[in-house]
Amino acid sequence: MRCDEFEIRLEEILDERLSPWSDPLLKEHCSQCAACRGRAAAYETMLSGLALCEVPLSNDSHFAEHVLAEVNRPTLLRLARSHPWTFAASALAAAALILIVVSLSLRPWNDGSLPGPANIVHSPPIKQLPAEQPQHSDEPQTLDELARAAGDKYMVLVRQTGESVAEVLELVPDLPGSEQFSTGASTNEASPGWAAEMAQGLEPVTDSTRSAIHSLWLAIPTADEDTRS
Amino acid sequence: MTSFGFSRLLHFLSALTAGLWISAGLPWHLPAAERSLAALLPADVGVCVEGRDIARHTQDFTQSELHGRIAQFPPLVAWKSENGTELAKLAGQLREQLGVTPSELWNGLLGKQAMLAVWPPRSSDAATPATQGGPGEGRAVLLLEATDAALLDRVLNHLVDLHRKSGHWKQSQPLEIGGQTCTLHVVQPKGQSSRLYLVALGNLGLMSNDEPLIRQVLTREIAAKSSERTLAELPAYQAGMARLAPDAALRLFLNPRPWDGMMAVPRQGSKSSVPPWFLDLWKAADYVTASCELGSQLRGEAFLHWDRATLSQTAADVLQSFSGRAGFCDRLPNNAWLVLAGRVDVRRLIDRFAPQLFKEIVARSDKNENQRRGDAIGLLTVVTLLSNFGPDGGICLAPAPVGSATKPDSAAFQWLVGMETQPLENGGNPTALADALDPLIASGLSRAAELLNPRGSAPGPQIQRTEIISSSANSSNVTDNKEGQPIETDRLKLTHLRGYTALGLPQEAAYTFVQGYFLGGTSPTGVVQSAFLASRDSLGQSETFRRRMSPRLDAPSHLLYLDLAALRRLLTTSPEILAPLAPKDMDRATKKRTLDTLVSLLRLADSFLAAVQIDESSIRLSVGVAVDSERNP
Repeated sequence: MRCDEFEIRLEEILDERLSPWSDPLLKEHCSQCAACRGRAAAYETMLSGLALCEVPLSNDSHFAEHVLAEVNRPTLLRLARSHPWTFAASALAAAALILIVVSLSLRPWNDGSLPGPANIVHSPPIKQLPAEQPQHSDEPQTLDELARAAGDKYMVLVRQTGESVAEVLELVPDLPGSEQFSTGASTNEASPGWAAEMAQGLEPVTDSTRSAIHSLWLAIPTADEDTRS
Repeated sequence: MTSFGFSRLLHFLSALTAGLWISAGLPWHLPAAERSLAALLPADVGVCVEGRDIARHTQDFTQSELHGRIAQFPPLVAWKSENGTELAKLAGQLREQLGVTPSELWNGLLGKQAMLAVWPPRSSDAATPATQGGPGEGRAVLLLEATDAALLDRVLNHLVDLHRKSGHWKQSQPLEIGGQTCTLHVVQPKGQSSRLYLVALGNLGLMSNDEPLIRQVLTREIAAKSSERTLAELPAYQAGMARLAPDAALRLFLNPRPWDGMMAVPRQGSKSSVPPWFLDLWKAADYVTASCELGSQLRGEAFLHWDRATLSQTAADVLQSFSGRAGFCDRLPNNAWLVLAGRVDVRRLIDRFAPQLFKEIVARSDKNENQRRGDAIGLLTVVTLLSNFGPDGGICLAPAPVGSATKPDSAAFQWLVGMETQPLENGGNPTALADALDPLIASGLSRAAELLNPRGSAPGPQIQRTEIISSSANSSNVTDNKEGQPIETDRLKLTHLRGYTALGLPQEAAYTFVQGYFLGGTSPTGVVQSAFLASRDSLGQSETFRRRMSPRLDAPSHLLYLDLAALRRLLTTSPEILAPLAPKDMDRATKKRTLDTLVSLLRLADSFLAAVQIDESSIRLSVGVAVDSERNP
């Protein structure tokens, strides 16, 4: 058996979820070729190592249900065994890519590209909210009043429940004025990224500060008054 | 930019520039400030910028080696020679508009204490027409403690005269507070919709778009007491200032609380809205401070403090994932040239976010069952692998280990990569992740060499997989293992590959798993030395490195460190290391010009250090450059 024949045979054996050492042809070639012996050992070690890896499922039992309904360990191993190099290269490349993405630009909160966590909250803690529920009958009429009242109500809920604004929004999504918060979940709009969102969040501060400094800046008269505008 | 007026901006910049240059020649410097201008301001300031002893700091800076190098930076020299006339003209125009020279402005008006404070817009204030100018116009006050009261009067009168000529002067009225009388000048530079108030009292100059603010400050200045709390008495301000360098030239303080009302209410006419996650962070934030040190080194620092109890669980998890001390520095030689190190707790992030990702994949309607299953398997594989790495990791460029650089096939430098790994347990039998990944990495590196090396070159002789057995940093223990099986001695198993000929430089690859770390590099000796490096000999503990680190950051979580002096020397002596990066069609002259530019940039300073420290209640940030003239004359 030549080395290239050995490799094809090895993949076939692994496809059958058998040990390379159980095949007489492979075993015979391995006894003569150290490189192929090392390769067979590497495959077996790698796959057994991957099979031992624990998947982190600690946060959400539903996560386990969903994933286990779709995936099981033999399926993973079958994929790895049928195309080991593709599997390994893809896994490493994806791992590196994900690592970079996670490191640099992971947005921890719902950025609109994911379904709203409301879908996975199975026990809406509406009952935990204070008795002061929004009174829809008292809704303000003007846009300004509406927005102000909505903002106040959300912030009251945030303060009284101790939950985050995002969580309150998900639990009570229909309160008038919820559109003031850019969850993006319902519109499926592309999120501008966490840096842009932070700049957006700081706009009330930056706008006010910029305009205030601008007004002081006007104390210095310019030779060309046309530039004042 | 347009709204501020470009010419006005140029005037300001020219004043700053001219002030920097001219103040270097002045023989005097100001004593330290005796009282803070923060004691004159109400405590509900939204944001303020404070300058202390700017003239002295400027003088220190202009006499420093760092300034000398910046002044000799070729592009700056060229720009000054090209624009010298324009700069002089702008300085002249500034003199016409303010009535002072740039030096007088810098040292006399701004040199002692200056503070710019901004408040959110007043919701309803009939007494202040300025708020009618726009719904979002904040209230601001500029305080200047001048060194010379006569100089302040001269500037003020000059400004008022100019506004009289342009027709923007409204009135000058006597203002009596606490038995003292001063003159309040009112101008309307934008017509009836806005008003500016200018007043001078002794060597204190005030300018504001809000008359009540002027009165409040003057009352505190004259009466020296007030029933309301001042900014200087605000606990957040006191705590924030204590986090900064004591002798910082410029300080910034952001107080989130006065802005809370604006954050919760949508802004009229604004298309964008406040992201909820940002509101959560804002709600938890106690204060933000920042400072700039100007002297023999340039360093900017920032400090964000939040209330851990108020922070949402998601935010806390994310911040926790990036917190802790970057331990990779303890594995690096103390003469490292370039270091990028950090901490990412991948397992924690996956715990938090993988369920959502999986749910999205499983619920995706535009894919059939097999496609969804494939996506889920792919993500599961990545998640499984990633969750076993971290949180520590990084990459480093360092000189080649002593001895190895003298070999004909060795480069003068080495790259080191490190990543913390999690041990796996299976039924009580510990199985290292290394056992699963070792053959994978070795095979990957071999394949990479085959791909990188020129076609036609025989891979056998080029790729020489060697197992290195070592129990110390002594490279003489390197031996070939014909069987191709790793051998362990003193728990160190190093795999070494040679034959990367196409990178332009002789390079190798070596890696090992040791003490919960994956260590890889381009020098086997370097990897072994890193594996056995004593903490006291590491970069993290070296005196030079610690001196360059801000004293406010005792355990940085993420950092980028550049030994510019060493990199400068490396490029000067071994410019060929850039060869692999140069485009093939680049001619020799362009290459030389690029190299010269790079070296001149590296000559600006001897070190660059940017670091972030994250813990459960704060983020500290420091960015700075320094010159070490003793080590790098």
